[in-house]
Amino acid sequence: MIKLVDVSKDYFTGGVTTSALKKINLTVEKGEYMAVMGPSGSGKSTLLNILGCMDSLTGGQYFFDETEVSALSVNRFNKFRKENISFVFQNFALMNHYTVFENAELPLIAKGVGKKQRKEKVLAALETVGIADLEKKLPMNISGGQQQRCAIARAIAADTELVLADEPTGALDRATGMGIMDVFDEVNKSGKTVIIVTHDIEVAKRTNRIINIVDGQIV
Amino acid sequence: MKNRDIAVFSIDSLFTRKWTSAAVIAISTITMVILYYMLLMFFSETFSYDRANKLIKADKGRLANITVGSTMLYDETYYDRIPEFIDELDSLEGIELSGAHFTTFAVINELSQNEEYKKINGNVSDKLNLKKNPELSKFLVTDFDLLSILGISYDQKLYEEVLKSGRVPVLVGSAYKDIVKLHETLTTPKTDFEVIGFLDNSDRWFGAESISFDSENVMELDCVFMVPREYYPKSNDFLHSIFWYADEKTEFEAAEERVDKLAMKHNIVLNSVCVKNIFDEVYISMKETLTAMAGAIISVIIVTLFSCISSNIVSILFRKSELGIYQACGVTENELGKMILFESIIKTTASLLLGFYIGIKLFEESQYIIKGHMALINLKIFAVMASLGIVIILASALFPMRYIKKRKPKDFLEEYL
Ligand SMILES: Nc1ncnc2c1ncn2[C@@H]1O[C@H](COP(=O)(O)OP(=O)(O)O)[C@@H](O)[C@H]1O
Ligand SMILES: [Mg+2]
Repeated sequence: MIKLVDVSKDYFTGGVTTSALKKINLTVEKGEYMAVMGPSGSGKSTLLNILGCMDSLTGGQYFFDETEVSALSVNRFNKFRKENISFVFQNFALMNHYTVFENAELPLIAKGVGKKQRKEKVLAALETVGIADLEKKLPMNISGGQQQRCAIARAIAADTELVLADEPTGALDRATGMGIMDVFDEVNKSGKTVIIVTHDIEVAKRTNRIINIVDGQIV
Repeated sequence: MKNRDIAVFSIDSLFTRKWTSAAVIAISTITMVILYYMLLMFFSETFSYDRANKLIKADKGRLANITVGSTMLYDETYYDRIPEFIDELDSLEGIELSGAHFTTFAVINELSQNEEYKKINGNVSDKLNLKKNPELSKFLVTDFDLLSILGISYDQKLYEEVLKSGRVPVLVGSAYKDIVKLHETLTTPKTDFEVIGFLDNSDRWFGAESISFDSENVMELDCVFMVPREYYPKSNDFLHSIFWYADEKTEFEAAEERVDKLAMKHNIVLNSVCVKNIFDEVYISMKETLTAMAGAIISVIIVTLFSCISSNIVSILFRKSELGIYQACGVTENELGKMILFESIIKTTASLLLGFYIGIKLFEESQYIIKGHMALINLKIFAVMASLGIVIILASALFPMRYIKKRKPKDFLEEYL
């Protein structure tokens, strides 16, 4: 489903060029469950950003199914992200002033889904991650694990092919983190392609494939 | 994303971050107030300027304003000599009388010595206070200086009407609260007085309708209270204003000489001023003021734009992470841009309306004599103010939107990556 061909990413800051990714080649099949590991600063997040269409590449090509994402116009690129990709972050990235339900509803609003359908989908997603009873709570009133479940419910509700997670257990204790991985297992079982960046080997072991990045290259 | 949802999110975020929104609105409002206040000043000044300009062109320097007055040369026949003088003046070659007023007013000096005056109680009449009696504003003139110079300071028709109705027309001088009190006191018991004009300390006449009788703000004027002579025959002080034109063929100076000679013959003291000379002074200082104001207004426009744009952008920076979340949830940069555009428009429009209102109020407050009043109800000026506002709204909304569209999601998501 995903094919990266010689993908490079350079950052230019203050006249200094940092090569975060160096000619990466990677293929990910549809429905795969994969972990990306590597030391800090090795380029894991950069890779995830590129896969998630959050950032453009400076070299190479990125294919998603039949689409060459790296060749899309800015507008199409942004729309592509909306249609195909969901994110889960280490810090949950929830809107503080929205309830659990409203947070999970966001991607559906972004897609222009009708209200009734939104409600069905969000409730089902909250059910899947096991926090249906918290739908009316604000993020600050629930635990970290529950917040992350809300974030995953948001990804499930969005119903995209690809789910990307950057250190989703990084802010949680081991037991809670494993609970989160249970949820990711579910997501993957429902047919979604899941890619998780982590430096926790226990987390990585829960997936079916581990790649290692060192200094911007897959080893 | 549906436009309706974009609007809902915009409004939502305005209220969620009510203090940021309030701060942005406050900052923009302050500059808007300054801008509108200055604009109104500018317009009211332009009014006078245009008028002066027209009058100078029309008049070609042939109009004079003569004030006749005396205490020193007063004798029994003085009052009778003045009409004679006027008649002869009219028949002088090269000179035409303008439609000025010929009523001789007796001046009652030293109001405090006046028996009537002593009866005054503490109440200041609300009747002639513009704020308390908005009816008066119907009679407002835009620019009394120039009107008075033209000799239409007080309305001859009004004068006659007042006389016919049995009331006594009065011309007043300075210390308004006293004059107003006097007017009130005189009016109630026996005689009905009506103020039809006033005089400043350079003997310029003004219509009563151009006065704002503000009890707290006493304008420095002559301390005179004048009624037609027949009502105070004992007074030996009077003023009489006459306006004449030098005709097309006659130079002002030559005409003036002739008028002076005639006055001497009648043993009358004259103070004659060429209206154009007064105009010229006014005109030059107005021109300078206008240029300075225009410059100031342009800088204020720039400052207003800058403050509206930057406060909108800064308020975006406050919520970078939130915008990042929107993007991560699939909201595209275009949609986010619309959201920001909508928000900025609401904020700037709010400041604009506030600025409009406060600016006008402030302007009104500051104009003790409301000479700019006409400017406020003028549609053209309203249109200029509104379109300037719209330009500011659009600019201050479009820049933040462009700013958003140029960012990559990653820029906003720093916190999470
Ligand atoms: N916005 C940026 N500007 C400049 N350099 C960056 C930027 N983001 C990341 N980098 C650099 O790119 C490299 C990879 O970063 P990142 O992908 O965040 O690593 P990881 O997630 O594996 O810790 C690092 O050297 C980092 O300093
Ligand atoms: Mg990282």
